[in-house]
Amino acid sequence: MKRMDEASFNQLIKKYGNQVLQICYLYVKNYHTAQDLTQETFIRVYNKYYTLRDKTYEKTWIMKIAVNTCKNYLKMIKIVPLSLNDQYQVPSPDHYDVLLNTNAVTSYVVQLPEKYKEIVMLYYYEEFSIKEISQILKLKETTVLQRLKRAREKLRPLLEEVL
Amino acid sequence: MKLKNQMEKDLSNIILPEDFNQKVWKQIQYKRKKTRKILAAVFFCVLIVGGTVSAHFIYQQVLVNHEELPPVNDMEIRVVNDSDAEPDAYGFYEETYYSYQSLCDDLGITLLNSSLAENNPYMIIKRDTDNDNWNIIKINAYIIGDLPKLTLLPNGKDYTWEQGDIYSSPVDMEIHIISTERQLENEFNMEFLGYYDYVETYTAKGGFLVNILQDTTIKENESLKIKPIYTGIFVYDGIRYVLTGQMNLETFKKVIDSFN
Repeated sequence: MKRMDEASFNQLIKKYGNQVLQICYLYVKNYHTAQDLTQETFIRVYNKYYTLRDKTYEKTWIMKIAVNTCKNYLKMIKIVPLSLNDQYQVPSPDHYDVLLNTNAVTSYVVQLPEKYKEIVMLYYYEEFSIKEISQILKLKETTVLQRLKRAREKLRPLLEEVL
Repeated sequence: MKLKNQMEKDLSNIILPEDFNQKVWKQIQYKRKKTRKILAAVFFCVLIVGGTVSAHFIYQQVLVNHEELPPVNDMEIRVVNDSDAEPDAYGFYEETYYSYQSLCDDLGITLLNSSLAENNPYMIIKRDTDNDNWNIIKINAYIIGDLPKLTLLPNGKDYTWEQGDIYSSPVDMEIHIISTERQLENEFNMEFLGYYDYVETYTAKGGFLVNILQDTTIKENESLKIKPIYTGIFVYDGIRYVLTGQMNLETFKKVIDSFN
């Protein structure tokens, strides 16, 4: 099993790091938590990179790991009683989060229920195809299409000009 | 402005700090050192205790009531992608799929497929793996044939059905994949104890040898329309496939011949 060297790993972070961070940010709405989740994502990427057979799927594969990392985190903070462990407390907004002001288009996307938000992020922002999204989220293509349609309906009154 | 451009503009300040690479790299090196120490400790413990680590399904022979069946093609090492699922308490990973293509995409290999399973929306696929040595995949309702009415039970895993003219049950399938030399050496046996009889070994249209077994708990009865249950075991391209279905032998062979 051949491990990636530091230079190749840095290249990978340079190529996808900010995209992963931004996806994580849209899930958890907190910069520092998103950065931790990005770190966790890239550690997993490093550990499993040798299993990726076809490098043309590199981006889809990395995004799938990022999405799973975020979802597991969100599941964990729901399961662990907040008072028991400070580590899992929902972080308060920091100065980065103010950057995403309430009038920003993205703030409407962030407010969508998770199942619609992730589809909008992956389809419009990351420009993945329906097939790729179905692989990342492990959903049927028809489900992805239905959710995308529903998300559009929810956003349309707010974002008529950008959809 | 398009939604993507708007979002890019909104998120343009959400970027990684410059020292992020070094931080992650240090973390990786730290975890690797820690893992090496743990592995060394575990290896030492296994040596002392005597190494009783092999799992019960890890053999390549197929036995019926302790009798070894005629050999079919050999199992070989097939490296597949790891599961992204979270490990359970025992360090195993479980994933569920609803299409054969999604399974193949995740595994990163092409599995043998039956033309009779095309466009089947009923199949429920469970993949178990240790993300290292082996994968065991169980497919419920892989082929549904002429069964008129499949109803999913509230557990979300199993079906009830009404008997068809040709099929009395769906065909379920198991797939066994070995991914390491160590697993291949440890073997990957199956034993059918007590309730099975060996029927025959034949060469399927796909060119591979198939051992057919019959479940002895069900007695065929034409007047009551009770059909026998058969199990077919074969290895193709180093991967073992085990099919089970309730139908007559001729139909069961047609099912196996549909794998091309």
